[in-house]
Amino acid sequence: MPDTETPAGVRVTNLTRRYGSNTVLHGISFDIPQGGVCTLLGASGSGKTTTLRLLAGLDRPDGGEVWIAGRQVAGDGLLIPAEKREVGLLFQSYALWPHMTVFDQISYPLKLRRMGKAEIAKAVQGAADMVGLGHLLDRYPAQLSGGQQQRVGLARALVFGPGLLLLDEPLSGLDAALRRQTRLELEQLQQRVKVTTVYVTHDQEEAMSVSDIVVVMSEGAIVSIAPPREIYDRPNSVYVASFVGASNLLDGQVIDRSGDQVVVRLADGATVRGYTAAALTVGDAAVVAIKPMDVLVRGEGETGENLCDAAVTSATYLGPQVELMLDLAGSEFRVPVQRWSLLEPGNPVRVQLPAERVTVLPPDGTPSAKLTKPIEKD
Amino acid sequence: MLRRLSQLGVVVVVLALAAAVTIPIACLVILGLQSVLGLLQGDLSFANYSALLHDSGTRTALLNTVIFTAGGAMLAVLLGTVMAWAVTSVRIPARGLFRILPICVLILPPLVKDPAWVILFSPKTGLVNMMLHDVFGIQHSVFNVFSMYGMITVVGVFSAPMAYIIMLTPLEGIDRSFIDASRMSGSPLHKTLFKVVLPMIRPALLSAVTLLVIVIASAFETPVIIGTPGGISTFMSQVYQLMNSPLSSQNIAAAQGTLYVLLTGIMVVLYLMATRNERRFVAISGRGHIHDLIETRWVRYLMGAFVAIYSLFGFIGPLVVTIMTSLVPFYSAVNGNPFHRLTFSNYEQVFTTRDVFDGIVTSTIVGAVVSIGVVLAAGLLAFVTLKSRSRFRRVCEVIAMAPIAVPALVYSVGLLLTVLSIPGLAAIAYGTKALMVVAEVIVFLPITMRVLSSALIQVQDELLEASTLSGAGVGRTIRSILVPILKPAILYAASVVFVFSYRELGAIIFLVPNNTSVVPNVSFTFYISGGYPMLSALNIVALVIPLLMVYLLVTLARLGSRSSERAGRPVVSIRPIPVAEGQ
Repeated sequence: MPDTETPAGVRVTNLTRRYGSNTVLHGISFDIPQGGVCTLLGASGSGKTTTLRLLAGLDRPDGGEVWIAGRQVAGDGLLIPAEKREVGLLFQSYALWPHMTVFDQISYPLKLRRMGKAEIAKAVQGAADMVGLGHLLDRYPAQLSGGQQQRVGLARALVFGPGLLLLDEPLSGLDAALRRQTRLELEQLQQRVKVTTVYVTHDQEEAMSVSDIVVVMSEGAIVSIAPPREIYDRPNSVYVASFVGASNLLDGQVIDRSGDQVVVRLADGATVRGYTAAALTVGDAAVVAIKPMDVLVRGEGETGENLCDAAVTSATYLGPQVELMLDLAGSEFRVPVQRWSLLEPGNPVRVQLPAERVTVLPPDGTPSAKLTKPIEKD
Repeated sequence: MLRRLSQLGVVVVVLALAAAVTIPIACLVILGLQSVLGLLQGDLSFANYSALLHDSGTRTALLNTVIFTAGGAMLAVLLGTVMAWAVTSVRIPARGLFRILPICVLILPPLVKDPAWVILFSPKTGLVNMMLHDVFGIQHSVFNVFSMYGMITVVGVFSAPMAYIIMLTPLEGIDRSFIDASRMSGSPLHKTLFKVVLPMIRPALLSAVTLLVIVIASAFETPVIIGTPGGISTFMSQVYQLMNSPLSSQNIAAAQGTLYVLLTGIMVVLYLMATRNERRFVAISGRGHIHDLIETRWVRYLMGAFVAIYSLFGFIGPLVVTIMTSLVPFYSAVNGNPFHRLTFSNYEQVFTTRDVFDGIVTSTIVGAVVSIGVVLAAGLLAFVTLKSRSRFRRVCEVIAMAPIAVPALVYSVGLLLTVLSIPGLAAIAYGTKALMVVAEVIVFLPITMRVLSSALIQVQDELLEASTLSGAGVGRTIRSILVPILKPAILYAASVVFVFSYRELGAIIFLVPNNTSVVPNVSFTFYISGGYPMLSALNIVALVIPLLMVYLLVTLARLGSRSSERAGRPVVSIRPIPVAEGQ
């Protein structure tokens, strides 16, 4: 249950940041429960990095409040500087100091907190062991691999027991195998330490796998806050639908509605039924969204609901599958099929959009769900 | 609380530097409008300026200054560019050696090079003239260094290394494929050079010329050492003479100083305009270098000879002449070979004569104090400019670079007059070594700022932010993170300033207290009185000592951090920048 008095995790209220006449953050708000993992997901320029820096205290907001671990750190004329925030940050470049050994790097925050030498040594060894670098304490950054450097940065960020851990694009720049491994390790680490964590990334796969909630940002505003599954399966806007999972989008008009089900007529007359959370009524323009891999290819004579006829415009062999590009009701439509498919450009094809996989959205720009949604952590 | 205090301290230091930069100039302006020395104690009028501009002597001096500066700059850029081209594009023999020889010219201070050329090229008794007379029977003196041609040649030859360093980069950066494409289109090589290469390096040429104009216009030694004996007056020699003679008005000197600053200020603006429009179209593709473009044998040897001859006249010659002259008891070329009796007595005298030896000691101390002071000052200004979000970032940058627009001599005159004309200040400051230190710190501020800025800019913000997030305040971050990373640059800057301070004459010539001597001043005195042997011996000593000190400093630094080898490649790389000294 979210604590409305002094939130133990992170609470951001109406956070605003301007650079001259350019507003980079338009008063965003979100909550993260103590120990929860949140991902800020968005394209470049969406404001996610700005938000990260405002949480860290490396930048000052022009409006709004920030609470971290039960303490207000920004807002109402107050601004607690970064060095006093007890926030750990793993930089994208790791930011290891070239002239210090691993031991010196990790002990640096502890020396600043006037701990005794023996205490420091113990804490450093503990942190290093936790990230698997216990045996490399007297190495210099230049003598470490990229992955090891990252772990040093992580140990340094965690050693003083921060109330919030920030990770700036931790998996970018890693190859696929290393990403998987690192992602798992980060997950395990976070579960062990139970520190409130915020990831910043533009990589949706990363966001899906590690978080309790995902905050999708675009152009300085929050477009969606929801658990990963919901963001993926039930996007609340065209932006989220196309940014997360690259949905197929079809324009149409609503011809029927009952409860949360609407029927949309496409440009070529075909009708599609699907789920909606938007306030769409008969006659409204709407967009049908479905993930490419949910589309089924049907035989010519088959009948059923949500059937559409299309023509193949290209068939690209990708290895594990063939990607078909279709012309459906005048729009580009992508469908992955088995790699032994014999369909060629020019062939007609009948596809089915299973109703339970279809989400109907308002056209560009209008998100259908309320933006702030308190999330329960189990 | 501590934060407020340290911020206050920073503001105080920045204000002090700003004052040290602007007040002497302001003083020059105001005193130039007065006829008395007390600040604002007389009527203001343009009488001095009127007198100056109506005086034909001043107009001649201005003309001479323009000719000397423009001629010297163009010659320097011509020589420097040809050598840079020779070293990059032509496969000259011994390329490795010839690449650094032109730069060696910079090792010798102007007080070595100019007198050396006087010894070589003075009419009648110049060694070269005498040799031509003896060997080829040429009656009249072929070379006369005490002429406008002589002056232009001297400053052009000795400033060429600056142009050389500046032009090396663009020439090396030209992608071979540009030239190949031109040749494939049918253009012969020499046409390609003019139609493709030259336009590509034109922006760099322009910036080199304007920079050299500024440097040469601010130079003290050549106009006074060579121009004055030759009867060629320049703005520099006029200001010097005005301040030197007790009969002439210091207000007129102030007025002329102000005009001088106006002149150099305009040149700085031109330089900034020239470099702003610089389009970088030398492609760093790393694919094809312009190296070894020309392999024709006679061209190779010709260009090699060119560089060799330049090094001979620019570096080897003066060095040898100086050493030889330092070994004779007295210098007289009138009766033939002046070098027939060699002795070390001059060196003995250098170390036993009170004044001379004191000069060496004082110069060393002053050099050390100045280099520490200017590194701290420039470091502070660079940090505020590059790593803080203060509103005064630009102001700090301007303060640090503004002294470029003021010739060192003019600045020191301004400083002296400030002290003399502000009541109370004279009592504290006049006749102290502190004035010399202040003058040199301000004069060397721009070059130190450039070295430290270019290093600081390479330190990623994240390295400093990581320290902040670990809980460190600004002071701790600077101490534990920034300074260790910047150590090579700091040492480099300190060494450069120390070496320069040892040879800087214009900035201190009017500020040396009566009971003190410093090396450049003593050298200058020797020169004026014709004591070439002592001058040469002192010069050799003054050459060796700074280099020894720097070597000591670097060795000590390296001992103190053996771990730097294990730390891997330094974060910050230092590009040797064109050193802006007299010649």
